Amino acid sequence: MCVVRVENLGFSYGGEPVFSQVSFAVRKGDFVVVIGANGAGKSTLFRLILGELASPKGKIRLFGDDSRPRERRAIGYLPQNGSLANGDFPATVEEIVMSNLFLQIGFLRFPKKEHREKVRESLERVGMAAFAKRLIGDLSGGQRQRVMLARALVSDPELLMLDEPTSGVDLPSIVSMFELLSRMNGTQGITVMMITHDVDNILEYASRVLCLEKGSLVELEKTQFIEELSHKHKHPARSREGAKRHGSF
Amino acid sequence: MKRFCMTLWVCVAALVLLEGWGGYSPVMGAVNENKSQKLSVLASFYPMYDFAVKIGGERVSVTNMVPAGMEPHDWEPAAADIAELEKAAVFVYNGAGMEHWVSDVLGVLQNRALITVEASKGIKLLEGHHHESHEDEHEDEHEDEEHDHEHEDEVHDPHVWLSPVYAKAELENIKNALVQADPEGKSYYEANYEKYAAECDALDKEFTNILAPLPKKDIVVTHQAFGYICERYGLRQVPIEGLSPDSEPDPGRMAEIIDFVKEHGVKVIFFEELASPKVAETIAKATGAATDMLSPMEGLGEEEIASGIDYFAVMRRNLKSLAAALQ
Amino acid sequence: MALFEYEFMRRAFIVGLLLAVIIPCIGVVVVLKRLTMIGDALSHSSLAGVAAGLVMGVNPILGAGVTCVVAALGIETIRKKMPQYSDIAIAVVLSSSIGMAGVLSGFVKNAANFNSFLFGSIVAFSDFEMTLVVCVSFAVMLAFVLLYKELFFIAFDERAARLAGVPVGMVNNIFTVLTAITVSIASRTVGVLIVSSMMVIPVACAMQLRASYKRTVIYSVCFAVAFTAAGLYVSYYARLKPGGTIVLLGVACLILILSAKKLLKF
Repeated sequence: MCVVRVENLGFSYGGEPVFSQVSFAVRKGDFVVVIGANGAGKSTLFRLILGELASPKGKIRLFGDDSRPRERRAIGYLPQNGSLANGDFPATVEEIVMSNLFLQIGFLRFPKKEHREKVRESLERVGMAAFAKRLIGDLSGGQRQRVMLARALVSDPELLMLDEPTSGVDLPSIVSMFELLSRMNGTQGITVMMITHDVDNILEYASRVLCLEKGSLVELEKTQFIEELSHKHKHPARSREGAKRHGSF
Repeated sequence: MKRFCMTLWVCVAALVLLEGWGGYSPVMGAVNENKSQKLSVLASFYPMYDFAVKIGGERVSVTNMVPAGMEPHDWEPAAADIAELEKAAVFVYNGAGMEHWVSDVLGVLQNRALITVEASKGIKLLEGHHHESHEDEHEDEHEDEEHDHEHEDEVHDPHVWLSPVYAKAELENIKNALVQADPEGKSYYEANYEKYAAECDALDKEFTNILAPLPKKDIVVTHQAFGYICERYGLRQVPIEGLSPDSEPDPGRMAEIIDFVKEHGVKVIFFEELASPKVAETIAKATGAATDMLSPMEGLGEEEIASGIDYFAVMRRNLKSLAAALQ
Repeated sequence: MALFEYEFMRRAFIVGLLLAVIIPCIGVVVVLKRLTMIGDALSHSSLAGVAAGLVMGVNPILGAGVTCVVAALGIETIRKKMPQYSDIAIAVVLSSSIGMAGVLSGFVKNAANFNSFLFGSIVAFSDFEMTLVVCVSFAVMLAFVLLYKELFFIAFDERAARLAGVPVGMVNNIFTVLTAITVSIASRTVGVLIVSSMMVIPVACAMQLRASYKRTVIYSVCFAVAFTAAGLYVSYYARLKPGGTIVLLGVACLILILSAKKLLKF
């Protein structure tokens, strides 16, 4: 089953075309990395999939169906810089994660024990259960990002979309976060789509690489891409061992 | 929707402007027509306006600077008012701290021919004590100090026109200025003065005759404006507020007034036309007293002015209210 | 206690404490959405509404309510257009309200009437105003409890709330209208000063304590209740203006908390 199928999608912003004729499909269990220069339209593509933007050109189907809003709720989303905003907001980790259980709790209703249980589970999945009562402002960038991930995961999404989850996060945290995502992708079958500039670190976890460039999208062969990169940067992708050493929380 | 709201507001504003101009035109018109023959007089607020009209009669055109229904304590002249002052021949104001803007404005005027009249000049002013009339009865000295402090910049009670005797003195000051500005009309102004001075005397007698035999002497008022009436006719005013109306009362003071009203069997709590009656109503409600209006004549409503009411009519209405309250 | 012998003091406590419960609830959301000055802007727009009502011959309370709601929705609309600069929206509404109130008040024929709407004091208000405050208080409490998690989510992350399916537009509109009605009624009843400061100062104090959202709400209400009760008490015995006393007590408390925090750190 296709989790996301995009057909001939085009989008222009104020008359300027951002991209056109974009087609791709994401299958269940894929770990897709979207790369491209700044301004190539990566975030725009995500917002179109999330339904925050609409385009007259092309089609987006989610979970094998037309993109009805209800289907979008099965997407967990991590916004760009989401963890950096609202740093001084008086809210605990628990409260923030709980907020995304909105649909499960229901409009005008109050959380029950089962919802608190879900929040705890979700925090355990990202290794933040011990921080449930802590204020978001007291956490480091990497910890906040994990909280945001827990918030996205709490509603049991089938697809997880992450927009540059590594900006403002230190290297060990980046690597351990990628490990975490990879584990959930492998063992729980969560489909992952991620925008990132941190190509060096992600490639060994990703199954596919999509590149937005000059207004169109191409899928890169992963092996070929790694080779190209290692030539350019003169160093290979970081080893898994190194990551493990630094990145345990 | 937004555009609609905008349009609506613009329309409302335009309508209001038109209506406003329409409403004021009689007063404004008086200045403009026959400008060449008549002496142009500006008065700072209603009693000054009324007194100037009474003395000047047909020889002058008087404009009231504070629009009808405005509270003169808070009023300040706009650019257009200063422009009027530049053109006027005589400017009548009460003084004694009533018009805080006068010294600043007169300082910048270039109209050297302007004759200014401080109508309260020569009158022995009362101290602007907060509650001088009854504090000897049941207030300790400590409080007295505190309230002195509060009104530091308003040391005198400016409401002199409320005593018919001082109204007569103000009429005289105004008459002298008009004579100075327009010597040809001297006998006319003198005659008007004599006429209204006599009416002031008559009013004074009426007040004395009616108020003297009444058993009660205490009046509870929202704003301490009636010191000169009280001084003249042996009454005691218990003001809820100081010399300026519309400041928030402190609850201790309100409690004290409620006790006073109950203790002395005060029947009426007076409020005034230009200030909020809420405090008077609260006290009336707590004590079972009634409320009534006692006008300090700082400004009259537009309808009142249009109905041809004047100083003497308002004073007689006040007398009636006082008499009813002090029965 | 002697001060409760007077009915006006009992009424002041009832209305003051009701408002001390609901205004900080609104205030928490308002402060966290960075709309701190909205109370000020709305109370001035309600002045414009009173003036407009009197000039047009419409009930002034209705006029105040309507302009307040219009102004609040106006702020909300501008805020949506410029989410990063919501204070622009407030400044625009505030200054246009002051301008409109100033211009319109010049054409109000019966100033006594006008002044009685402008003037609000916690120790002097009518029965009608008290009834309105009680009704509005219960409406706001109910709405705040029912919309608790929605308001929190929107205040923390409006975009995520929208993606999660929260009816953001509707919740925002309900909240905006309730804020407008509360401000227009409360500022007529107890004065502009108390309303606009109660929206911010207790919340500022509570936020200094660095607690969860839920506790921040509870602490804000506690602070507001304490300021109001203490302010009324102090103003009664020290013979001070109650509105100013309540506000200054709040500010003093905030300064105390800030300096205590600073001292404890070093």
